Amino acid sequence: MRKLVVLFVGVFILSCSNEKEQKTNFVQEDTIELAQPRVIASSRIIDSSVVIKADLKMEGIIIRYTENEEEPTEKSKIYKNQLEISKAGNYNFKAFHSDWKQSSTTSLKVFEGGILPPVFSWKTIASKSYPGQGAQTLINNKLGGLNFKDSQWMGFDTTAVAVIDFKIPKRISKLSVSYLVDTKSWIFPPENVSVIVNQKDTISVNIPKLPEGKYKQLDAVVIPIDREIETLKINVVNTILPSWHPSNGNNAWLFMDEWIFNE
Amino acid sequence: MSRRKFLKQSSCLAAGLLTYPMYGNAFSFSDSKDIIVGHNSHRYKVDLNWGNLDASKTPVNDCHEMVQDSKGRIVLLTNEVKNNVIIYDKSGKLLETWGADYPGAHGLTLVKENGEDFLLITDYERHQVIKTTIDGKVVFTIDYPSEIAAYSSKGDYRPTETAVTDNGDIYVADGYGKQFIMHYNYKGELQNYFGGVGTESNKFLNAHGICYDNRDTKNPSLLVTARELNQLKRFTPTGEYIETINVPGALICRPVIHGRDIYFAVLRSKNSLYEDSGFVLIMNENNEVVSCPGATAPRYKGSQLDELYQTIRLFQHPHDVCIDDDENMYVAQWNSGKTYPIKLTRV
Repeated sequence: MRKLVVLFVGVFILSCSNEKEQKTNFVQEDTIELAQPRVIASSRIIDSSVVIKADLKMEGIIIRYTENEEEPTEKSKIYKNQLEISKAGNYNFKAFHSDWKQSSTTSLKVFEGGILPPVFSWKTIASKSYPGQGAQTLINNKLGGLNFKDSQWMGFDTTAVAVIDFKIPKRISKLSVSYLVDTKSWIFPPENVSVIVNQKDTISVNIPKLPEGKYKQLDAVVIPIDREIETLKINVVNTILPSWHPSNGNNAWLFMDEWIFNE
Repeated sequence: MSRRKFLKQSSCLAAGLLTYPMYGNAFSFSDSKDIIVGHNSHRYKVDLNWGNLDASKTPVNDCHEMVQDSKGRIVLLTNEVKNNVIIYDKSGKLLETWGADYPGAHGLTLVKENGEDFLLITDYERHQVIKTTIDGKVVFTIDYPSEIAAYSSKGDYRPTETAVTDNGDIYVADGYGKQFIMHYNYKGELQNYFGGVGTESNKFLNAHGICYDNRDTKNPSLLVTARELNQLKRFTPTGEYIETINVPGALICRPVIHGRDIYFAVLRSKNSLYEDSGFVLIMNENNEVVSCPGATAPRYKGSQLDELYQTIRLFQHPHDVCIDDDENMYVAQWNSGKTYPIKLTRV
């Protein structure tokens, strides 16, 4: 009996002292990523200034940001109050917390306000379901949000073609075509944007294919022009859903909210 | 002190005080960095390994719903037809599986009749509700309600959830179909229906979940989620609208009453940058949200709840929660990489 008691106590002590070495079943700190900060802007086209607010409502959160397209690090500026900016560019925000892995980056592209062409005529027609706010939607200085049902978006399941006429020659440095990516809803970046300048020169830009994944984001392609323009014929080619997409082979949707012509 | 730490220490102390001073350090978890999720009274540690099985033998597809049966076992319903029902013990050990005939297995409700457990399975691909014994024998099926003019064929009927009253009446939420709530007696005979598609107070956009709320024994009622509207709606058992409880930002799946509280899996955050932005939500008996594991802390301005949203990427698409008799929670997820449920241990 005494031996049994000694054995029991021994086994018990061992079982307890081994506890420290046992790996916990529970998820440990610094293994789960924070969600991306929510970033909203009063506008994404600079007129005089734009106010940007970033937030991730959680105790102990620090949001850091950059104004130069770089990824925020633990040395980047700390976001405290809303930012009032007057310069176009990419503003990046990231959340940090001592107990959690840093978040992915939320990027906000702010465009420099452009000039409005006096004549804008469509050669193809947007989908009846996604007509935007009519023929002038892409030059109304208003951008859409992440919801494709937002009325600032014009949706095409074919190539979108329009002709711009400035009436008198204008020096245009670049054209920005801003678009939505929402892969679950079949909305992809365009495959190619080409512009025919003054019915002569063609400038063509291919947009890189999206790697496999789920995307919901706002993006833009910039077409370098840098010449005197009277007319521009703009072709934006929608893509085909890639092999990794569940509905591969079908036409992807092309959703655009603005074409911005900068001097 | 956590429940787990307390139990370890107290069991050692109970066995002999002598061991404690000598091996006191062995019980210290001060170097442990377990994360804690949730707020206020409802906080949890997270076990991502609970219930993980060999996917080549016991796979899951969407893990849609879970219940705890009278024996304390955890019953999981998946739309994987190799094993639609997977039964675990609370430690996550596999006990048994059954079911190969439920391709649209979605809703799971435990029914207790004279000391015996039964299950109600809604299958939106079969367009049926199926009552089974706890080991999978079919008792009866309920087909689409052809008596109701809105239903011209079985394709109109895509039921997502059931609720059962104390006297055995069954309510079916047609959450992926015409959004009506059908009321049947215990034999499966249609008694009444209400709801339908709409944003009016007595209608739904995605009447995804339903439960029978008998916390007030004198005034039992029905709680129905209108998932796309981020609302929980209360009705009398005869289908009269009583009230709406707003949960801004939260796509709540089904209400699960445990004790005095209501627990919800939240499929995703309404305005998130990404789809897999779900979390868990707990509401007290005054209809106040008290904790949101994985999301923002609930905050009220007056009676108005601030928008809730995911703050950590722990959950993907939670679809149901089950709370066991130890107050621990199991979270079943839809469209989340065929992962097994997550266990949350209350602290």
